[in-house]
Amino acid sequence: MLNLNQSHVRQMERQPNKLLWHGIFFLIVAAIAVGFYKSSQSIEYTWRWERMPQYLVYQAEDHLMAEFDGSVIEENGELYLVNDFDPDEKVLVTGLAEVTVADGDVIFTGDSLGYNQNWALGPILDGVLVTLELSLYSGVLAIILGTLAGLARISPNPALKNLSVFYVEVIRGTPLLVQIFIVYFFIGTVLDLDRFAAGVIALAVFTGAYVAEIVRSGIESIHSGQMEAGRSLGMGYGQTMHYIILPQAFKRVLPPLAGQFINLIKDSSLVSVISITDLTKAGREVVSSTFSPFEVWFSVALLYLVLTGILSFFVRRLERKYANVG
Amino acid sequence: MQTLDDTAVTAPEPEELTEEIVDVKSTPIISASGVEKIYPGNVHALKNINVEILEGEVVVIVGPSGSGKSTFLRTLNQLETINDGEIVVDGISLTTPGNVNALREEAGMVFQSFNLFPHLTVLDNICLAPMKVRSISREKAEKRAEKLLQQVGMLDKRDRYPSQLSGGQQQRVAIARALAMRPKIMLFDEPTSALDPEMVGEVLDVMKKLAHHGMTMVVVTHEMGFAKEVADRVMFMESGELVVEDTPEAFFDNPASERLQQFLSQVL
Ligand SMILES: Nc1ncnc2c1ncn2[C@@H]1O[C@H](COP(=O)(O)OP(=O)(O)OP(=O)(O)O)[C@@H](O)[C@H]1O
Ligand SMILES: [Mg+2]
Repeated sequence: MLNLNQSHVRQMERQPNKLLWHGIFFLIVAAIAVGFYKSSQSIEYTWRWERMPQYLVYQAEDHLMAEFDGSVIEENGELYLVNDFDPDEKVLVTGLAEVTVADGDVIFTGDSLGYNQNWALGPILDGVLVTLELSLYSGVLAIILGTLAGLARISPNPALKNLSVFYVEVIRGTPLLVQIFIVYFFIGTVLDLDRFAAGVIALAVFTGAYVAEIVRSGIESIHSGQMEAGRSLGMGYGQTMHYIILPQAFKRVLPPLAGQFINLIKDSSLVSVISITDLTKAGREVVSSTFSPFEVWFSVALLYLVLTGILSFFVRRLERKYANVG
Repeated sequence: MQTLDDTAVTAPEPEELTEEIVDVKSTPIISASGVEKIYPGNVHALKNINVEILEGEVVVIVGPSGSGKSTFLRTLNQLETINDGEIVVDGISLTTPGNVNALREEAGMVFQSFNLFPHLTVLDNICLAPMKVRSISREKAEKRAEKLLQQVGMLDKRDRYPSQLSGGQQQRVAIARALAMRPKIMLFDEPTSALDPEMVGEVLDVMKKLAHHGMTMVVVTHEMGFAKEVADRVMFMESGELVVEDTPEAFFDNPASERLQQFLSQVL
């Protein structure tokens, strides 16, 4: 509907010169970029972008350590470490990507014989994974919690209804940061939760309150005749909800729900205050070891943008899939 | 409505309702006594309604807007609860708690705004309730649904979605959907009021067929032609009261009250 209206409005207006205005858009973006660059020059900031990739992925050296004192001996063209006290105990050295010992070397326990190189995730990408995990777990919990609370909100039972109102109002009326502290320090201590669980619960409870409102308004937007038609066919309240109301409501709540999950990904950055090493916390740690705050925070922002962008992309596909019906 | 197949209607499965053509209409299937309905906000929508409707009877209710016609119809399948009095439908008292779903299976309802399920195909609209409420297998439900669709002339649209149908077509599907639960009574609340004039006929035709095959029907409508042709009794409601109750002949040719006369002169 909205799209229709917009294109209708567009049709009524005189068409602007597209090329010109796209050009102007890029000029403005370029001007902002130059502005950033100039202002960093004025404070004599040295950009070190070349240092950033190693915090995403790096080549880890997986060393082979000697487990006993011994000597390196060459046999049939292959290097072995042989135990000085038990000649039967041998370890093959040849085959490692990088061998750092040679025939005849004397080796003590704990010395490196060489290493293999593996790609490993740097702290920033580790942080991305933690952020993803946090968002995923709390997102699933929030959907369950929010749907239940949304259904309770429209239930004729006053106890359920009041509980739901109470939950939504308390959560929406207090800052998420404070909620995270309460869950971590109070509930977390009482129930002996680790920080990750506390973070997931705080985010789920927070997002659930917003999901509840989205679910409630989605259900209420379905014409009351649908419920009446279901009931007049002899279906119960639960059956009518399940087979008739909720499937229709789902389609309508998809866009606001997607917005809420994009918020969840961004809100998850707040759990770094309870020392969960998510993307934001990882950024802080990298800043303190590199002293390159600009590069790090720009990279972190870009990664959040990628995460939320991927989510938007899939939601838009889902919307298109459901758009043809009803 | 050439597509309406008479033999299809008259040759139902053994337990199908339309088979019981009741010649002597004598058993009350609905009886309402002293029914009062007060909506929140102190709207007295029904005042001391006393009605008996016999098995196989077609009753048409007319009256000005806001007179309580819909409210009365909706109390008959408990979409509205009543504040006082008693309603017994096919031996089931509505004032006894727990009878609600049993009763709703007995009484099919057709709405002014069709209320088809927009996310389901025509076939699934019809199959859903029999499968979920009566636990009938999908194959059996579909077979029955196809038969009903044929009776209302909509079989070729079985895989369409409601939004792809005209109003008249939607309403015919809605009638088939209600019939799929094999109700003993059909309630119609202004089934043709939302239709373009050229589609009214096709829906009324389906309803006439249904009436001719013995279905007990309570119809709220502004189609006086339908009332004259099909009704066994016509009732006139005004401000929550059942004012006149007569045979169609007497009702239209010899209006029993001044107010009814006035009403008829406006709608005819
Ligand atoms: N849910 C409701 N809450 C409060 N008042 C209501 C409600 N539904 C109906 N009413 C009132 O009850 C009275 C009877 O309404 P009803 O819908 O039964 O009239 P009607 O005869 O069907 O009218 P129409 O021909 O316009 O459909 C009206 O005064 C109406 O405003
Ligand atoms: Mg009405």
